[in-house]
Amino acid sequence: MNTELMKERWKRNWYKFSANPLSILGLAVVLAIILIAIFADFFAPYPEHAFVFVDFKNAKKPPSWQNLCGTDMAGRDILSRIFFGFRYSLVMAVSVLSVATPPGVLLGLIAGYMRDTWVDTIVMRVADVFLSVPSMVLALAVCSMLEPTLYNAMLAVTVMWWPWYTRLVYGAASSIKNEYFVQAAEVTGASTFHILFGEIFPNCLSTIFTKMTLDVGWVILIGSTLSFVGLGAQPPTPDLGTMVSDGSKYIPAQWWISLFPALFIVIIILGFNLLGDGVRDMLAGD
Amino acid sequence: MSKEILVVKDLKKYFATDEGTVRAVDGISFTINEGETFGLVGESGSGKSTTAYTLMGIYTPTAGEITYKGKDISTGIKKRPLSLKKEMQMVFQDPGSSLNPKRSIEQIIALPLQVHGIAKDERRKRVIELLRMVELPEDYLDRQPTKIGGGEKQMVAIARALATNPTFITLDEPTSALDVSMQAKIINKLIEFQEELDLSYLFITHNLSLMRNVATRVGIMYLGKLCEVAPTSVFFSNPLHPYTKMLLSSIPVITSEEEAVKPDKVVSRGEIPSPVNVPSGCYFHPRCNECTERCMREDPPMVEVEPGHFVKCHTMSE
Amino acid sequence: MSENIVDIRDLYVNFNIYEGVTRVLNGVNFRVAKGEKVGLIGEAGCGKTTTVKSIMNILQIPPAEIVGGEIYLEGLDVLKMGQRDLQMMRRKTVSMIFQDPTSALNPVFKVGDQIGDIINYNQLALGNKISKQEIHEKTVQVLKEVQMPDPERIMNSYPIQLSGGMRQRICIAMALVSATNLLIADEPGTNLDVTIQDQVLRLLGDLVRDRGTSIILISHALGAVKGLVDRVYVMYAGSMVEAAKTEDLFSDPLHPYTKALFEAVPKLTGGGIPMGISGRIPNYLSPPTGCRFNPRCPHAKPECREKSPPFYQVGDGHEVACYLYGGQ
Repeated sequence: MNTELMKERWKRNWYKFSANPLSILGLAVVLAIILIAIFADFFAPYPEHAFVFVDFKNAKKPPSWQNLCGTDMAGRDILSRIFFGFRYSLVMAVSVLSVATPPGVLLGLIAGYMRDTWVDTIVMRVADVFLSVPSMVLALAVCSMLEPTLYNAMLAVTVMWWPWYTRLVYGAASSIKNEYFVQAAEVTGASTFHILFGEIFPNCLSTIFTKMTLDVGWVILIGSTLSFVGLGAQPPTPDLGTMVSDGSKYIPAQWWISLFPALFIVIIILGFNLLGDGVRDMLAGD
Repeated sequence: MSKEILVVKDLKKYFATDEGTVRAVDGISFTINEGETFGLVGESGSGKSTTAYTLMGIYTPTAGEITYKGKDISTGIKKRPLSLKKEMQMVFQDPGSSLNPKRSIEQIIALPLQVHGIAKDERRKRVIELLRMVELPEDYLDRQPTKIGGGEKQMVAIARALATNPTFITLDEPTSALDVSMQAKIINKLIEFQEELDLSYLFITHNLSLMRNVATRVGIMYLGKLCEVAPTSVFFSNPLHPYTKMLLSSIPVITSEEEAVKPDKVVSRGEIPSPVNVPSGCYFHPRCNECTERCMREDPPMVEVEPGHFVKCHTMSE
Repeated sequence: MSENIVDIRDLYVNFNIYEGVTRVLNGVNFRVAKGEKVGLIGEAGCGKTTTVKSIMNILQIPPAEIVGGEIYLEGLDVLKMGQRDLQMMRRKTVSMIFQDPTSALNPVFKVGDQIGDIINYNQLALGNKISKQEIHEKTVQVLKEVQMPDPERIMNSYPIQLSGGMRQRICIAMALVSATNLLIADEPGTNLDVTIQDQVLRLLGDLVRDRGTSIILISHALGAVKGLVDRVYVMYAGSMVEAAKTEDLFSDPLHPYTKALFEAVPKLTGGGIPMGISGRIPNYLSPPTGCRFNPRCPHAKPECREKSPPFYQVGDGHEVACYLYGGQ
């Protein structure tokens, strides 16, 4: 497709996206988080505080101009740790979604196209099994069977995430396959591979992409919860959930140690949700 | 003497649903000759679209035989040989959904060429040629279907159907979704292509005035059965089946000349019953003014009343 | 003027969309006298639905914008009405039957309840209380009026259990239940089979005759309006191009567009496929200046491009918006 048409397309997409000012806010927040995560060394006031650092003289200081979010029990600047913590949140979201989505989508496409056959039954019932286990319980089970590390937490979340995409794409694919353009492709003699990936899949993209954007918030939340209960990233890793957990012992006296990481978890999730709403508006009706 | 290109014998297509078996097509037989346009007319629930889809293989026949150029093709599309799919093509009812909104016009028209092994640069040349044939500008190649009008979409669908040089095209209500001026343009093009490229058409529409001017022969369906088949002029000037008469007399027309050629008004009674619960005997009997006791018991046979004119009604055999 | 139930004068309506401003209605003049049956014909996209929606003031504003003209309903200025008066008008004076009966009915409520709700709501608005028994009786009565077999069973059905023709009749029943002086029927029966459409149109004809209701019947199928209405307006690209008594219009169409339209329809008498009308419907973002049909008109003159022609009177009640028939 030539560049003229692409520019037109993006101008139109922006028009739809920016109809709601909150979507722009979401986009701004997300871009800021990504930027800060990548260049945390630059943005953090005390980058050396991120991991292992001790300064008991300055420990448990409340928020001040030197430490905007205060310091924690080891004397580390909380704001700097939070900025580095963004990395773990984003890495978790990106890894989980990029690993869970492809197989989920693929299975959904196949099951949806072969609706009402044995393929459909097997795939969807397996998905149902995964979906029927409460996600936290499954994640906890996987994590406790293996060593508690960030990597294993991501694995656990991935394992229980794919069926949501299967179900989503199953619904979309099974209705799209009845559209005339799919039948036209069948009549022409196109292969099943082409029909799945050339005809049906492109029409599912909007739905998938919208869900992925909204899922980032969920993955981060679950990841933080796992860290909070000690099954994810371990100290001294500046993971936001771990930070909330570490600080919980000091509530209410040194409330800032838990509050600010928690607040930023909320901000990240909110940012992605607002962005996701905007993405949905942008892609809706396409 | 025209050769037969498509022969349908006692075709049945039933669907199993929660409410029971839907007898969408319930034993129909007809032939289509080379170079002709066979029109299939009927209201909703008549089974005309199901017939088309079964002929094209989108549905697998429940029973009966379909023969194309002498070879038996009574299977679903996946089991049919690739060479057959080159020859039989289809234009669908709704231009909006018969083109994939996520693909460009070039990709859409090139798909049949790709499937049948044409090389990439050959494909592009052929697509440009096809666009020229349907009078669309070359810069439409990169456009998305959503950016062009309904009539133009249908032209793209026709270009796609012509891509592999088929011999038989099924047209399912090709102009129903379009306005009158677009309709005229498209039908004229279709007629032009038929002459130039020696095509045979199965033409489905509920618009009888259109059918009058397009079809060589017409068949009318009701609840899965063919009621009457005749050459077009005979069908419209001498309809014999009570349903045909009812339908023809209900057509809204503008001019008084047209009003005069319509059969006497048969006030339409009742509605088409559900295909799950078909009436006994002749399917049309509950709505028929000429219904007799025999009609309620026995399904009438298809009788050749005069050469080429077939009627399925007990009044014909009395 | 007070004998007209609907009087639209010089109505201009724009739609503000991403690509710009579409000038959809371009000076619409439209009148319906009390008790009159008027047909409105035109092809898809010419503005018929926009016109009637503005009578009831149910256009979605934004993106629509009424930029000029007046609309009078029973002598009252619709555009200046407050919300309450508008609601009262929609309840008591005007009813609309929409094109697609399936989407006009709420799929999760029984049909009888949907009719009953309207009856109840209307009575409450008048300050009356009405018992369930009375609602039930009124519902049965109106279902009988629209020739529904077995009203009791139908009342307890959901829309999905009914056929298209029945759904359309339910929509008509819902419109009748508000004692209305004006019925607007937008392509009734278009989505239905010819035989059922025939029944629906006959039913409408009987009902308006018995009640003396005025009716605006919209259709793109020319023959459909013929049997039902007294007078017909022909609309093209946002304005009325011709208006006449039904027999006059069909026997002697005057406007070049009307003539071309009638010729473009395939005839039951044969004669092959007509050539159609050359050119295309204008792009409402940048429509032609003057008479919008001029790019496609075989008789176009320079003045046609300058200014839109007004309605010229030609014979008894026959008006044409074309310079061939008057002026300059």
